[in-house]
Amino acid sequence: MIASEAWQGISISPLLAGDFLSGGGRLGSAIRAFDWASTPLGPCDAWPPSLKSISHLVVTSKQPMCFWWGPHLTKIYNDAYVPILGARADRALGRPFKDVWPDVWPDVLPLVRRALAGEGTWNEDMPLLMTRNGYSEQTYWTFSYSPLCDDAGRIAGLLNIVTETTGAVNGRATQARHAAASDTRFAGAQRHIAAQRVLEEEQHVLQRELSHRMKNTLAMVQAIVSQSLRHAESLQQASDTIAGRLMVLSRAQDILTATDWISAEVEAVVEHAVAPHRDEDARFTIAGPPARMSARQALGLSLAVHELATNAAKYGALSNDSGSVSIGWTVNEAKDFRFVWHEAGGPAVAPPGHSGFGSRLTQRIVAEYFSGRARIDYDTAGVVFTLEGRLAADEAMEEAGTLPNRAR
Amino acid sequence: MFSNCAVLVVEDEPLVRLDAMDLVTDSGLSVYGAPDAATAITMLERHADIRILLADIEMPGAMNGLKLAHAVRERWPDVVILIASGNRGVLKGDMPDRAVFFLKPYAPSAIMQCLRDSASGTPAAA
Repeated sequence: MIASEAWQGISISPLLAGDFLSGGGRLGSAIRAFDWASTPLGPCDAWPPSLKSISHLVVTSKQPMCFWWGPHLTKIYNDAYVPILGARADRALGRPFKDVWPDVWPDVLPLVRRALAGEGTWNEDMPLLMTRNGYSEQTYWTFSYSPLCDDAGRIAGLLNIVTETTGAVNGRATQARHAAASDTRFAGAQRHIAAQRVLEEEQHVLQRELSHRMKNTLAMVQAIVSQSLRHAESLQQASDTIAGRLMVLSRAQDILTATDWISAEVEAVVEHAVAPHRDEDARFTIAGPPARMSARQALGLSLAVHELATNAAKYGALSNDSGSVSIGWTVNEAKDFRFVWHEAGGPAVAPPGHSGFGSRLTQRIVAEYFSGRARIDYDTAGVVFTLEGRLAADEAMEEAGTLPNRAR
Repeated sequence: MFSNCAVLVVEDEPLVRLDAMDLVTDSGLSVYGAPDAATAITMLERHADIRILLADIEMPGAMNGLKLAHAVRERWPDVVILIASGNRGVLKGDMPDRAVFFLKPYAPSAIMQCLRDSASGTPAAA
């Protein structure tokens, strides 16, 4: 038999007798350096020819590939596969399948078992929710599992040839959304399926966002409760302050829910925060240009205004019948924001003896939400609170351009 | 009690950070706060007394708390790393070696105990 001309001029040395990892890139060297004696595979120089052969095939391939071998399904992969691992990249080599991919193990186990039973598998754009970078990610994968045999011809592992299609799937979803938006009569089964997929994806995104906001809110509540208890004189007082603070947080959430959590009108935030203290119309003068602030700023300003109003009701302009509060703000084109709370007509005020959570909130914390400065002047004629900073767009607003879609 | 030992709290929500910083102070330790990973790195460069990092995972910017934790493990291998997140899906394998994970909301007493153990050199329970 005459060899194909493709072999001409290629010198063939018995690779497996020499270094079967040569030409294997970074992973080739990493496999060489790895302590395999600590795994069921044993020292790599003593590996059987079948295992050396498949290792050579994988590390010299430019296609993302990995394989699992032996009783623990010990993992070996190539350079092209590294990005797939995300933050797990430096802790995956030589580890059991289940330890490297615990988040997707239940999803792929049936496929793994089919391959180990001798039947190859192939999946296109399989959705997998994974946490390889520490947070949940909706990912998509086109991949095959093939059984691998040892020297005796018994199945000893499986080969995974894989392409991540997350980018492509998301791109198609965006295209489908644009198509759907430009054609109100969109008919045809294919387009219908695409639209269905877009909806499912939007649902995923929304659920993730919702869960994220819930967690943030709970963290804020924990901080508010802890701070209120820390500075309380009695449990009864703590209970009242906590209730008041949570109520204003809840009112701010109402405004944000109405606007998709993207931003809130300054005026609406102020009105909602002072509403519980508004016993008659003449108490508050609220004046400022229309301007929007981020969701976080809305929560921060609400809490600050609530503290100011609570203090005013105890010691300041809202503690007698004649006092009033004027609230005003200015915004320029650069979104520089200046907000002033000015009390008048109340009893003569003196600075509080101790610095509690309320004053930390109105000075340090609210300033940070606005990346600026805040201060309270205890003028004898009335308390003056000044906040200078910058109005921000919420991160949700920046994300809006990249997300598949948002609820309206 | 633990002189020369400070804790760096990295958390983007100002209110939550303030409260975590109070916890550290209550534990008898000095405290620094940073709103993001970039500021945290600058503070670590400036303040050699920082021996413990307490970082939230979810943070804006290019680097989240996990990436920060790995960067800190690399550059400051002796810094004790405590990671907090509201996300149950964080895996031990995603965190640097010897990092301790706290699911948020956490019990203040558990954090305080862990801070004191870390400060006095007792290995923290994983």
